[in-house]
Amino acid sequence: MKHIIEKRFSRTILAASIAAIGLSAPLAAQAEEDDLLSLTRPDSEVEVGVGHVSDGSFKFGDYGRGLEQSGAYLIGNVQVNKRGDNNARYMELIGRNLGLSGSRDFGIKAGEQGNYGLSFEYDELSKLHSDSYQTPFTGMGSTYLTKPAGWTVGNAANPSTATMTDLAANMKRFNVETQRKAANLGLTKQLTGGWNVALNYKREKKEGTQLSGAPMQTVNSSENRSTFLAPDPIDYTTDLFDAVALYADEKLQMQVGYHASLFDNAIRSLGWDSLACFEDGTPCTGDGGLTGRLGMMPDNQFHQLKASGGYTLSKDTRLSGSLSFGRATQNEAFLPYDTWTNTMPATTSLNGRVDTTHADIKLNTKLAHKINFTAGYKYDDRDNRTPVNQYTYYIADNTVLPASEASVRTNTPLSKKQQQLYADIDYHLSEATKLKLGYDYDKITHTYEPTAGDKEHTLKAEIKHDFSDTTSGGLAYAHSDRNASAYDGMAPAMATHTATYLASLCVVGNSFSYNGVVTACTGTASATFTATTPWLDTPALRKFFLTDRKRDKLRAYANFAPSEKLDLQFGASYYQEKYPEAEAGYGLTKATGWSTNFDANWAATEAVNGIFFATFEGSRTDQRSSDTKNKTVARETNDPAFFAQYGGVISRLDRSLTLGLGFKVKQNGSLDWGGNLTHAATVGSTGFSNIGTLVSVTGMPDTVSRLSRLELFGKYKVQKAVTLNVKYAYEQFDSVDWAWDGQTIAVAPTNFISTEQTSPDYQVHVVGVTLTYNLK
Amino acid sequence: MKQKYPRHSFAAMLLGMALALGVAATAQAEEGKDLVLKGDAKCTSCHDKDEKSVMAIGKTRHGATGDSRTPTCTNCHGDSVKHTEHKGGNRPLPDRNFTKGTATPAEVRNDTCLGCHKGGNRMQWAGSQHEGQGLACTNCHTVHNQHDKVRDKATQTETCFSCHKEQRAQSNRSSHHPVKEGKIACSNCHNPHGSSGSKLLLGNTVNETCFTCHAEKRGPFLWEHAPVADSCTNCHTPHGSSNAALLKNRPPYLCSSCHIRGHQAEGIRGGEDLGTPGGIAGRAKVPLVGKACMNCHGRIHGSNHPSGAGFAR
Repeated sequence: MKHIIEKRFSRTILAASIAAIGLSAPLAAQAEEDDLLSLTRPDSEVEVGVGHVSDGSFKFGDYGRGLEQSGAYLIGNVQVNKRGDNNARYMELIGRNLGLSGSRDFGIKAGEQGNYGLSFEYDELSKLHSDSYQTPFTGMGSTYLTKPAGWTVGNAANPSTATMTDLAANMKRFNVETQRKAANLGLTKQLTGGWNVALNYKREKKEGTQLSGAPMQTVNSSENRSTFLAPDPIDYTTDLFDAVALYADEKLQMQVGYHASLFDNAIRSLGWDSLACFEDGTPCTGDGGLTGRLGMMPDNQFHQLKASGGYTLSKDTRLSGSLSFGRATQNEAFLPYDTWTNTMPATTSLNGRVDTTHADIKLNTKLAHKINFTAGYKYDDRDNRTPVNQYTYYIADNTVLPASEASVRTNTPLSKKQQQLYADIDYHLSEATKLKLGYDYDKITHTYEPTAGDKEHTLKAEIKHDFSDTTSGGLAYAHSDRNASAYDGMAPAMATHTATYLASLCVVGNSFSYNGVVTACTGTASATFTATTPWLDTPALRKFFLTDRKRDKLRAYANFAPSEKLDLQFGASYYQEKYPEAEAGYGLTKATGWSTNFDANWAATEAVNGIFFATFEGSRTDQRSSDTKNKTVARETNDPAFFAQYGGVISRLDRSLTLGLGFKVKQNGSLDWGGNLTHAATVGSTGFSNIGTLVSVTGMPDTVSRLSRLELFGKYKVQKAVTLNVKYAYEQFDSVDWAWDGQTIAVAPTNFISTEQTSPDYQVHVVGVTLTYNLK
Repeated sequence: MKQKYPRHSFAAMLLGMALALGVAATAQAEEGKDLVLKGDAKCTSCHDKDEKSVMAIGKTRHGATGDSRTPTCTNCHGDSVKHTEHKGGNRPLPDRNFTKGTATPAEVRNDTCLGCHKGGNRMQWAGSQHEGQGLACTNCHTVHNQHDKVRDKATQTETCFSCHKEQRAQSNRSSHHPVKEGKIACSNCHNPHGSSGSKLLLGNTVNETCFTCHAEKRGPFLWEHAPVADSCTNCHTPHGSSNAALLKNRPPYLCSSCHIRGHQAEGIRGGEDLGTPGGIAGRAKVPLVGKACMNCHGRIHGSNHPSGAGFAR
């Protein structure tokens, strides 16, 4: 068969060929260019869809998830990134959870790289405390809580929840939650000569309620008080300003700046009707007031000037440090002492002031080829310059005016000075082995505390070894020894109470030293009261953050990669803190903690990878205590030692197990799918040991929380620029907590208005379907 | 037999030739042309578009060629003469490599980055905890990636938790900061590049760091609670706790480690104080239920009320 090209076609082909020669180059070049741009131009995308939550739960929706209510919700996420092709201009926009109130955040940054930058961010964060809280009051969320109309106390002489017959019928639910909304503005400008400046302003509003204890005097016995958890109204505004000038050249980098934090609380107090009084305004029997009032957190300001820098002295040596001076002030007008007399203190506001100073310097140098040395010094001073004055202690809006010296209190502004010295050496014993040795010295002094201060020495050692290219491990140990100055548990009491009152706490014939002056005791001896010095707490008590401490920390770790696809990590740590002085008396005697973890990362193929991890942790505290419910003899006889018959050891043990499993699969270049499974369980136990023969104590139930979460996702590329996303999550949480569970009005303390709250349990399914459009 | 080409085949051949010529002409034109960065032709003649991870530098700040400070490949990877001039197999690696398992020492890798990024937050890198552990910048940062997940609050923990596994576990406890929810990140409190504070904290002290978000607790108050003024960590553990409010221990036991006397409220509290729910007939006791000691002492962080010496007003 002959194949002869016809003339008319041959001309056409020739023309087409010539044209193709001419066109193919730019067409191919364009394709190449598009291809290149897709690889080098920033990605942008918009995701829109709908989701559905199966069940409402405050605990599930907590902390900005925005998913506390059941039903459908809008899913909206956006990310736009633009960069100039021929200049350094850029714009980055990001928005997350745009369809969810209490969760959304949005930010935009734009500018010219190396010249200037502007930024704006907006963020919402909700904290959902409780949706099972109940109270008989009305006006929740406001600054005054009113008791129900026609309220019946039942027994004015001895009011209690058992006699308040209207209580159960008046209990109402109220959601206790807060929401933060923050907006942030930023500006950066690159100046000449290595300088640039950065300005930042952030305003955060926090509104809502949180629960606070609100005790109230009921009748005239000092212990006859009742209390309830009030929804504290929150209306905070915090303004943060930062202005920094930065300089950098080859050797010197430094910055100087100003920081201000201005806190404003729009609410001064929370008031409430006493439930122990009749509705008609008749005062409670005895000392109980009609109303109570809590003070709110006062407005305050903090201003700080700061400078920091680093200088490269040589190729192997660098010096760095910082210096800052701050001042915190607070001068909110005082509330009256009580709601009954509205008596004001002699001073109308605190005029509080704390000056802070920080300085640190650090030298890092390579002493030899294999030795790296770092040494430094830090200084922190909290100098509380708040005026010291006397105030009168009106307990819980008691209507009987305090007349005795027992009610006089002097404020004790706490100051603290801390100095730290440290030195660390890294020594390469060999190519594969590295040894680190270190020493820290920490000295603290403070005021109005049982000790004048303490000194702590810490020795540290760590060795790391590479056993092979695929196996490495290490061991680290640190020992600290803190020695406090002589412990005088009376020191804080001496500072806040009058000598006259303290003298009444010890038996006449004895004396004690009060602020350097010997004062004679005036108290009367009794069968159980033979105090020779005026102790307010058990003399043998040692507060853990002030007393002697010995601490050991041990950590071991190993990494093993049996193949290029598998990476295994093992780790374990242990710490122990001992408080030897408390071991002879009262207080925290020992705290221990341990943790083990295992991680496996598996990259089966380029398209399939997985992860597994497990962490088991435990922590335990032992504290020696005394059955002060029934016997306060240890205090009243000035016994400086543990009183075995009324004593005992309380042990708290928390154990937790956390497991995680995840995998991702990239299939056919157009389908990604995978999942994650997380399980976290904790058990908290309370135990008693060495219980004295005169103490009766029964065991406590455990507290338990278990969280399980399954997440599955799939992404299918429908078109080049369009992806279909399907997400599913199932979360289950259950908890048992003796502090809340079962504490109904009928069984809760009669001087405590139970909130009827329960520890959270939920099972929630969430499904979402979205489309992602790639804007490039 | 004289072979005649099928007319369509011939046309296709011509078209093919034309396309080939076109491609060849384009390739010839592009020979020696930079693809992403100024002066990258030396590298991209081999590491071309097939290596998406190489090209992706263009999506990042390091790909902004309009910025005169933007480096080229060799600024970071070295001139790599042996690598570029090698013929045949077993080509030596570039002078500086940043991938996992690289033989390039961390110090050398870090010097590359610090050559430009020495100032600002990185001023205290030398002698810092992470530097002392032999970490390199690229252990945490992905330079050839538009999305450097450690710089995004929603994904930062993926990087931090790969080493800090106890914190990862604690972030799953019932009480935690909103880290796993992606609302705050580790870097809201810590500067991983080194800081003046302990534990790489942003503030000079623990309390100064905490007051950034919790300014209401800063005071100064008329009545100060000593452990609060000393350090928030006396009572709180910031990475997660099974006790409410991130407390280290459970009230009332946390409180009774320092206060065992008081108004008969502390001491040894056992199951009998839970009343009926604890299996004991009768009512529970206030210091054990609800918020325990804070049922009355609600202003435990400090009070400015003149009658607030007991933190109950």
